[in-house]
Amino acid sequence: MENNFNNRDFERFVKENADQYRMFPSEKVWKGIHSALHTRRKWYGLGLVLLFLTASTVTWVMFAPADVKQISSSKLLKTPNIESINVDQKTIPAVSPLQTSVKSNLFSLADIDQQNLLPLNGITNLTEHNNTIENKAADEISNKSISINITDQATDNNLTYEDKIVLTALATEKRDNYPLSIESIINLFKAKNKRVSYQLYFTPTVSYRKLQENKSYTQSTQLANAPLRFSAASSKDINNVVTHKPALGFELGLSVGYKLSENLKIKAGVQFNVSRYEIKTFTSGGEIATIALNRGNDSINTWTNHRNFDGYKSDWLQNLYFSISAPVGFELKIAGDNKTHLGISGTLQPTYILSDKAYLISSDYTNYAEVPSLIRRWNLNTSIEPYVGYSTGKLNWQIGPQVRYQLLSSFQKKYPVKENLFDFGLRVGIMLNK
Amino acid sequence: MIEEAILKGCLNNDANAQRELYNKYSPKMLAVCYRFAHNREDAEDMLQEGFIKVFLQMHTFENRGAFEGWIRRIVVHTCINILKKNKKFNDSVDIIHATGVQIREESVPAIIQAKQVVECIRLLPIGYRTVLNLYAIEGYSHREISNMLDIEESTSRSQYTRARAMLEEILVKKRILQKPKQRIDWLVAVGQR
Repeated sequence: MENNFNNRDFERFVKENADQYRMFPSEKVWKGIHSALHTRRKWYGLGLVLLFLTASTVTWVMFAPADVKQISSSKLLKTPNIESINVDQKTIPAVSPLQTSVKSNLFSLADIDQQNLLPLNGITNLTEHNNTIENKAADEISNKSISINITDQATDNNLTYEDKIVLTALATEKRDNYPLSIESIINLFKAKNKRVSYQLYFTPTVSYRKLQENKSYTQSTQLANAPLRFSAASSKDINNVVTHKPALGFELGLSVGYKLSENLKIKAGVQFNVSRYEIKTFTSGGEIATIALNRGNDSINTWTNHRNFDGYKSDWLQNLYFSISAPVGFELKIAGDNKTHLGISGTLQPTYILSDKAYLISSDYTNYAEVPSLIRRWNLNTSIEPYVGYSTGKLNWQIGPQVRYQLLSSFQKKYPVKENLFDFGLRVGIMLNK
Repeated sequence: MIEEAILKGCLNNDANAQRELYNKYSPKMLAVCYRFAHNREDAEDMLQEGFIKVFLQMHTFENRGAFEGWIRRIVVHTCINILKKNKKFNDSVDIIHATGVQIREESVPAIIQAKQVVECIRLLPIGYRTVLNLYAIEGYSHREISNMLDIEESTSRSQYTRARAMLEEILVKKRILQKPKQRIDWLVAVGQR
């Protein structure tokens, strides 16, 4: 206490006391700093890579050339190019096979009636030529049978034709080489009705979890010699002991579908998942948490600041899983038309956990601790989603609720608690119309 | 780990070095944030933001002056920015006549004197408290304070005068300080105006 003081003394008194004061922050502060400086950069990188791959795939699909079976120039060359045929007044090559024999004598074509000429290879324009037939043209037509009817004003003794000569070429070809009619030519330039489709989708989700005890372990004689607190824990239902709540996550994926029939499609793809939920804990000063394992008398001891009950400050601990899946399944159209339809889709998803931040409860249900070695890396999920499909011209939308269930526990078999995750979400998918 | 090695490690984004630095300075910096914040949770949020900026701007430290002072300036500026962003500050700074602070004995825990003084500072309205922290404890001038808080320099002076008077009254009422009688009467008059 001070009896007499002035302003400067007062300010010095306040400053000295304020500067002496210390406070110790909770562990949450450092974790926030660490994740901002390190983890975030790693997942920004992965997110950017996935975004780049997805964008590249979508861009490739949008701008890929139409899969049209174009008639190759080599095939065109197999048929006679009428434009280039010139009839030599002097000679006429021996074109075989011909339905009618052509005199080897000279003749000239004064005119060619275009209307009477069937297109030999989609070429309908003819030009008039009065010169010799090129050898090239002769070679080109040698592999097919062409019948050429020449209106006969020529006799063996008439080597020239003065007026109009109607030339009708009937070509037969093997159907598998080139078309003959206008319709078949037009159909060739039409894009075929593709069976393969690509879909990009996004699903915001909410994750829940279901906990189960490994009963055979908790009630086994192995606990006969365990400390009292472990025995007490085994008699409680774990779902009544813990407090947890769902949190938002998402799924982002690309799938390829193959149409088996008008209504049924099989599909496969790749999907990136984020599943989150929160558990209620209390901060403590730090103590050892013991997790007894199923395997013999093994146990894991770890240091933790998080208690399930009793602490000086309550907190919600975030648990999250980053994973990648390869969904394989089917899509069935139930009702509707090409514009709007109802359908249902189901997949089985082998999943790999890329990274996690999961807190496991100790054997006596007292503490929570991170034990990465007990997390199962490979898992299996299944999903089902009824949807509404809607076509807007260029795009085909699919929207509907989705339920995703994790078939295997998040934790390894030796951990006495099983956790199965549920994700509920709204799936939005986009496909390009062909 | 000596300080130079810690600084070098932090510049290389080494997590261990960052943790060492954080452990060394966080207790004091949290106390700084606590004087500005409404509660401990807000103070920890300010501390977290402040240290993230410290690590991200480590390369700008030019070795002129104490490193602790450099960190403290970043943390104080972070506190002010958060208060301004949350608009928890503007309403209070314009209060010309702050209402009398109702002091209850149980609101200030009976602990060491430093904590008592800090808790008394936190009883002040946010506007008064901020100006007093910046001027009396952090050592900023009224001109600097006016630039940071977007207020007039004269407003900063008047706010500080009232803040100091109010704090004196609180410290006297809590028997942390004793004042001559005539000065107490004057302080009461200022407080009632």
